[in-house]
Amino acid sequence: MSGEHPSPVDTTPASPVAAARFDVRDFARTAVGSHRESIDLSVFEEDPLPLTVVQLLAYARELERSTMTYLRNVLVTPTHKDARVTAFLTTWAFEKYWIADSFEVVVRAHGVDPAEAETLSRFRAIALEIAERATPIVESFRANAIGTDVIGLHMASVAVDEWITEAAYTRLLADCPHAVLTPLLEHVLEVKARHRLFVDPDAERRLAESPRARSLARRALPRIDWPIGAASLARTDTALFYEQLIDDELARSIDAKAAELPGLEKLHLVQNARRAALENPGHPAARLGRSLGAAAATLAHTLRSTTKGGTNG
Amino acid sequence: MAFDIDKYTETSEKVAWQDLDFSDFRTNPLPEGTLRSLRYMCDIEYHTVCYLRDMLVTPSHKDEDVTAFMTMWNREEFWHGEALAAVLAEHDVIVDFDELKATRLKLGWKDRLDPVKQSLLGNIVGEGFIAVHMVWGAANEWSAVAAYNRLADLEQHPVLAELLRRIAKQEARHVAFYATQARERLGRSKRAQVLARFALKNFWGPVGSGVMTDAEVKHVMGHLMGGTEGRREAAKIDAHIARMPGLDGLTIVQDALDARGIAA
Ligand SMILES: [Fe+2]
Ligand SMILES: [Fe+2]
Repeated sequence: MSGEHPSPVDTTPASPVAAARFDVRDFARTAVGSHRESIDLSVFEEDPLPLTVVQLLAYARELERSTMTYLRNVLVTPTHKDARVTAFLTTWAFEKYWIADSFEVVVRAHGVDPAEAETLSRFRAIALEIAERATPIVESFRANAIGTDVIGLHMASVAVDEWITEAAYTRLLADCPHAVLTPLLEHVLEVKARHRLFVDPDAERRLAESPRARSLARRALPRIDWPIGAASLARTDTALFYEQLIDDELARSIDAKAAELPGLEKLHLVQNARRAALENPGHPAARLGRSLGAAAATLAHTLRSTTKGGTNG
Repeated sequence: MAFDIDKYTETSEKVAWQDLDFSDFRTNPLPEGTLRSLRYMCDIEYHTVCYLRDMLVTPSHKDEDVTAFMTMWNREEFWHGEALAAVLAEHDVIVDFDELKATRLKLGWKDRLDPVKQSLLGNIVGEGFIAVHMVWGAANEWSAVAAYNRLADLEQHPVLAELLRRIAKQEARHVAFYATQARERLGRSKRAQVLARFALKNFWGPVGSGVMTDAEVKHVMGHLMGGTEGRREAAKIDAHIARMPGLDGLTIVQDALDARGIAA
C-alpha cells in the first residue's frame, strides 16, 4: 500500500440544509492554481480587448486580490475558531489569488500596470487609513461579545459577494466574446462555482439556526460597500463596474436571491450599492481612466514588446 | 539576496507524501514521545491561519508582496498540518477539524486581546510594525526548519525523515522571505530596530506557546532543543536572529529554554 492511507476525517455534524456535504479536504486537495499556462497573450496583439474591458478586469483583479484584507477583519472575530471554515478560507484565498493573477496578466498585456493602483484623493486615502485601522479593533471587541453568531454574517457576506462577481463575469462573458477572455472567464466561473457549494449552504444553515445570527447579518450587511473590496477602490471604477456589468434587473435578481437567505428579506443590498455608486461616481479623472488613456496611445507597441519575450506577461 | 515573490508564488505547492510508503508506520511505528511532538507540530501548522489573523492587524496587509506571500504561506502550512495528520492517522491518532476548533475555543481571554494589542502597537508605530512582523516570522520559520530537521535526525525513520525534510525545505523558503523582508526593513529604520528588539525580547515565545499547554511546549522543546545537540541548534537560531540589524546579542530561543528548565 503506497499513498493509500486513511485521511483524517472531517466530522462536523451534517447540516440539515446541505444534503450533500461539502468536502473541505477534497476542495483543498484539488485547488486550482495559476491560469497563466492557458492564457495565450499573443492573441491580444491581433485582437486586443476594448479598453473598458481592460479597466473592468483591473477592477476585478483588485476585488479578487482583497482576500487578505477581508480575512484580517474576519479572523479577529470568533470566525477564526472554526477550523472547517478557516480551512475553506485558506484554499478560497489561494484560488482567488490566482484568479486575480490571471486578470493581472491580461491587463498588463494591454500596457497597464494594475499594481500601480490607489491614486485615491488624499482626503479619502487618510479617511480610509483611519477606518481600516479602526475596523479590526472595533470588530474584535464587538464580535467577540457576540460570539460565534458572527460566522453566519461572514459566510452570508462571502455568499452575496460571490453572487455579485459571478453575475458580473457572466455578463462580461456574454458581452465580450474573445478567443482568450471567453475560456478564461468560463474557467474562473467554474472555480468560483465551487466556492458557492461551500458558502451558500453554510450561510443558510448558520442563519437558519440562530436568530442572533440573522439579526446581526440584517444589520451589518447593508453597511458593506458591495462588492467587498470596493471601499478601498476608486469610486469611478466601482461606478464603471455597475454601469457596464450589473444593470438594475441583474441587481434586482441578486437581491431576490439574497432575500431567500433566512432573515434577509427586503434588504436590496445590490440595488442600493448600485444606486450609490452611480449617483456618486467620484472624480472623472480617476487613475485607471487616466492610465488607460496614456496606454491607448502605445497599445500596439506595448503588446508587441510584452509578448515577444515569452508567454508569462 | 532578493526574494523573488513571483517565483515563489508560481512554485508554491502543497507538500507531497502520496509517493511515500506510509504503511511502513504500521510495521515500524513511531515511539510515544515522537507522536506527541508530531501532534504538537501538526496542531500549530493548522493554527497558522490564526496567526495570520494576528499579523494582518497591522498596516502590512496593504503591501502586495506581503499579501501574496501570506496567501501561499498560509496554504503551505495548512498542508504541513495535513501531512502530519496523515502520519498520525497511521498510528490511529485522528486529528479532525472539530478537535482543532475545540483547542481554539479554549484559548479564551488572552487570545481575544492579542490582535487588539498588536493592532494598537502597530498603530502607534505604523510601518515599523511590518519589520516586527517580519523578524517575528523569521524567528518562527528558523525554529521550524531546525525542529523538522532535528526530528528527522533523531528518529532515523526513513519515511518520516523524507517527509520532514520536504517540509523543512518549504520552511526554508519561508525563512528566505521573512528574513529578507526583515533585514531590509530593519536596515532602513532605527526605530524599527528598537521596536523589534523590544517586541522579541518581551513578547516572543516558542511557536505554539499560548496555543498549546505548557506541558506540551516543554515536552517538544526538551525533545527537539534539549541536550548538547539540541542546544547547539537553538544557539544557531539565536545567531541568525542576532545578525539582523540592531538585534545583536538577543538570545530569545535559549532564553525560552532556560525559562522552562530545559537542560543542555
Ligand atoms: Fe510549516
Ligand atoms: Fe513555515
